[in-house]
Amino acid sequence: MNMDQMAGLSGEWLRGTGPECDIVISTRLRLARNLATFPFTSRATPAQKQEIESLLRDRLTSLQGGPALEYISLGNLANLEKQLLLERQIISRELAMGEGARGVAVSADESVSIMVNEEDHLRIQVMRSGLDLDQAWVLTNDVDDRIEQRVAYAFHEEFGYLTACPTNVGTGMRASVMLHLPALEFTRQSEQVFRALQKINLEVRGLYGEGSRASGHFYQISNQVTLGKNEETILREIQAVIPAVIRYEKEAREAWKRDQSVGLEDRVKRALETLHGATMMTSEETMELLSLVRLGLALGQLRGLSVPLLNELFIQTQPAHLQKLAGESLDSERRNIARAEHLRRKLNAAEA
Amino acid sequence: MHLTRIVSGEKRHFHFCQECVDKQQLLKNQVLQVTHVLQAILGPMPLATLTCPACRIQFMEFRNQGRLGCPHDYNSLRAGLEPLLKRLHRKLRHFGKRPISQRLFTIPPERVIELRQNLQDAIAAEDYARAIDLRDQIRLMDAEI
Repeated sequence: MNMDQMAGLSGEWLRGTGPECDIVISTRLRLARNLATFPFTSRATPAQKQEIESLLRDRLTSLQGGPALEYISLGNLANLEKQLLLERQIISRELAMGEGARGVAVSADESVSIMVNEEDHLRIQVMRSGLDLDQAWVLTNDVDDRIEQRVAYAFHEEFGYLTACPTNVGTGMRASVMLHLPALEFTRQSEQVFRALQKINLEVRGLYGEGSRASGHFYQISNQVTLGKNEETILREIQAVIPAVIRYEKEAREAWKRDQSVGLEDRVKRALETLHGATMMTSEETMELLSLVRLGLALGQLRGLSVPLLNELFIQTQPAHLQKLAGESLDSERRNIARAEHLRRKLNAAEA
Repeated sequence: MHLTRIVSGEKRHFHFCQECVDKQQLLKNQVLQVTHVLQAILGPMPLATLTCPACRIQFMEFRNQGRLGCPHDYNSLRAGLEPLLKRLHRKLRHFGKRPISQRLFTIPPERVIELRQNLQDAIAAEDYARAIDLRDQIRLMDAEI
């Protein structure tokens, strides 16, 4: 996989054509799995981690059927490239920051990625564009079955798939749906909605998972419980609440458009003008402004732009992507200049 | 050293002389070791001393770092884990997917983990004859599993 080229392209899951794609960005499913005969990653010695990596690397790159997977070892990968994989959500922060033998097996379209020696020996992850839990589960289940034919998983008659942290034991499954909820946030209703979700044991987090801020008004809704419910039930419970959240967001958008139409139009226009005209742009400001433009697009206030282009800009304006696109390492000031240039060029081309 | 403990709304004060503090290692590198303080007050707790024979992790170690040592901990630390699992998931029994090919382990997988730990000991002790023997045993078992 050529990581220099990767920065200029979007992963399949960002193409923005899935169901309800103006509000739902993507669906992600992940399964935590471990080998039966090794200590968990955090207790494994460097030599044991190496053994686990080389075993899994061999198995994952020679699976029968399904998309071909390419293995990227993180042990001696440059920081910039780890950051690039993190920005594309191919790997987690924990894996990027980790130590020793570890890596990721990833499909060419980036919709399947399998982390090795993260918190668990295996983290199987499938991404889909839009709201697509069913198809994501079909794919994840299939990859899991094919891996299971080649390795001995740690499985317990009572507790199910055994994981390093008891929060994941049982199905080992975390299903999450990423949503863009600017109107709920601007109208200060998001807290209320999230509290209601937490009451029914669903978790709400920011764009990059645990502990991250909800920059650009992106939120992930996921299940907390993994033991005592089967996969289908867990998926159904998430599937059941998403339409309600989408409806709240749509109502908030409509109410906002109805009550403060001029004010909203003004904010969207100013956001777009700043994105066009700035000489320097921080990552945070970019997220904020692109979020407003994305909202304006959904409300039919803008011509020429598209959801896939905006999704692409969210990713490409992040630090490692900018540096890969520039072909050199840039300090924060030069990144801000490169970011403004990149935005101007892409937006001009789209509107031409 | 003074310690205030609140038991069901009632305050209780404990005072330790320096000798006890030293003896019980209550203060380590100037950081208060809460688990040691509790152990000093309550005596050895049965949960705290639970240890996995395969990976040798103690329950208290798990509580401090939040990560288990190996899959076998779900058996060996079970008494400590069950209340936690119940709090997290409200249920204790897995429903859902199971491996298609039900592997019948002729050798318990935890035995292999135990041998891997023994191998580390042998290497650390520079007992290479034993290390080679253990490595061969692990290879044989791995091939069978």
